[in-house]
Amino acid sequence: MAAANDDSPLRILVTLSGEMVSPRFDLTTAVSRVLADQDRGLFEERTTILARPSADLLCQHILNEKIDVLLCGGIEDAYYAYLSWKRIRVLDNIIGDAGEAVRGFLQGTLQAGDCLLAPLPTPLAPAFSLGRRTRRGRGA
Amino acid sequence: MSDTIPIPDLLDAVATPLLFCDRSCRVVFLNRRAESLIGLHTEQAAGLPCALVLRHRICAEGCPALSSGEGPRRAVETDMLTWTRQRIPVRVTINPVFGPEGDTLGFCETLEDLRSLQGREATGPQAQGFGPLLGRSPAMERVFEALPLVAQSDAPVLITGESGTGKDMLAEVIHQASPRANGPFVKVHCAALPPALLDIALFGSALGSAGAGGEERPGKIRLANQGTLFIGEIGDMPLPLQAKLVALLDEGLIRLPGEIRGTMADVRLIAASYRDMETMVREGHFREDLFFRLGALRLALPPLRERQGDLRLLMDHFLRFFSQRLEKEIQGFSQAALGLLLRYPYPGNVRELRHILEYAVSLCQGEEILPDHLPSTLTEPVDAPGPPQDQRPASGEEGRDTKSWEEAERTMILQALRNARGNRGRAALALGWGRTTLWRKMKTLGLQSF
Repeated sequence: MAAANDDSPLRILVTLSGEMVSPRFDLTTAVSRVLADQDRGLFEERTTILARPSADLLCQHILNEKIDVLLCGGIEDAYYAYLSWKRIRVLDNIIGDAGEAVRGFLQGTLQAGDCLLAPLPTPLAPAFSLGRRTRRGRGA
Repeated sequence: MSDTIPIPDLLDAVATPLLFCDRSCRVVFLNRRAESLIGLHTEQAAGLPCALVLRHRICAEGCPALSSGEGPRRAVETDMLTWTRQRIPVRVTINPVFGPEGDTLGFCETLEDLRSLQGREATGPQAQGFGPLLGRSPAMERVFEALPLVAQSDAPVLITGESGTGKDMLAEVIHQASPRANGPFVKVHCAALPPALLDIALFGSALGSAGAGGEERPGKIRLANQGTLFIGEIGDMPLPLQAKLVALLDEGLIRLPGEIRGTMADVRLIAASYRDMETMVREGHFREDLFFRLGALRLALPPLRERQGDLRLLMDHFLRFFSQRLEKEIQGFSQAALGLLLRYPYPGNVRELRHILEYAVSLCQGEEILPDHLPSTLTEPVDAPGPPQDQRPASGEEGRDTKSWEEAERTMILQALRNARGNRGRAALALGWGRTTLWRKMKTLGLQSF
């Protein structure tokens, strides 16, 4: 597990939509801040409800909380670049359970773009199929 | 041999982004246009809830497909967040897909990218120019007169002009005014990529190929399918790639390594160069056959010094633009500042003028731009204007004009930071910028450590 430095715990923030990582950073209304270190692993978790969804306010919240790592779904490039410039590691485009995302990060297995959804149960109706593209059609 | 067309191939030929999902709103298929818009392949998206793939704003308020029965849906305007980190305004129409028994199998979502429509509102001939291109000078009038005809044709276009004359913007205006406006406008700049990467960026790579780390990459040409591909700085394109481009223009096909039949590419090509292309052809640095194919339609953007009357028009435009953006109430220029601005030769053309006025508006705290608000490059003696040799700036695309501007801007930022004792919020306030603007500029200028 990577820590911010040897003394201070790693501060991770996950954007939430229920139990899941929220699909959009700018529409997020709740976040979970997690503290973890080498000895204790994950030792503190706190959920905050935001006053309103706003990417700017959320950036400010992340800076105020001195977050080291952000785990989120989709995020606009301007905010991604801003937070990266502020030396916050951003793992975006994550789909799945927020707790599982944190555990995956602490184990060093989580990557940006990961889908953590379990195999889906049988849909209400069988998924229809349109067949496959031909080799000629493959590409874009 | 079968003469039936597979449905996915047929849907790929549709110029509108389409997404199919099952009854529980899990993605079944994306056509090529949808893949290009969303930034995900069908293989990556299949089985996922469509709300997590499309990430529409309206999805946060409840699934529009599941919420209103099985009748046809009305179009809804919203925005989406793509997997390439872009927020795009879109119009979404959701219709049920019925099986042979009349039962609902799923939904078809039609996505309309509204960026082109928003752009189109400002596209077309206007009193002071054409769309976002401003100018009333005879040199620009000639360009504007040719624009509608050039836009309606599907032939390749070559845009030439010095650095900073607006070649990229002109290419986008042509696309927006063309029948391909609803298609993608994809840009690639040859000077920004080494040859091997440029090849992959343009033509893509097959699964297992060495250059792209074994990944399958679609390439910009495929991504621009049914739209326009803009190749900037085409004079910097290596000769082997020029040969591949000739083949594309002749046959309309792109071939990945090992592929015999190739894939059809319905793309209109617009290329631009600041170089003297005829000289490059004579010296053997650019293929003559490619030059002739590109040169079928040719537009030359004049340098600012040859656009009589446009300087004042552009000055007023940028003054209004930046005053509004920076929330200032600047009414105009003092006589002395006006004289300096009108006398300056603008070797960096419109781009340099824009930078100068952004700088001046940032510094100005009153109602009038004064000489003190202008960069020192305007107040110091300069060499007589003239086109640089080969129309090329001394050190690549960002040449003397940009360098001098960057130096001025760097000095201004450092001074503001010193005055604010390193407090970026106060420095941004003093400069009249938002914190994000100051951050972006510091990043561009490599000042992050200050």
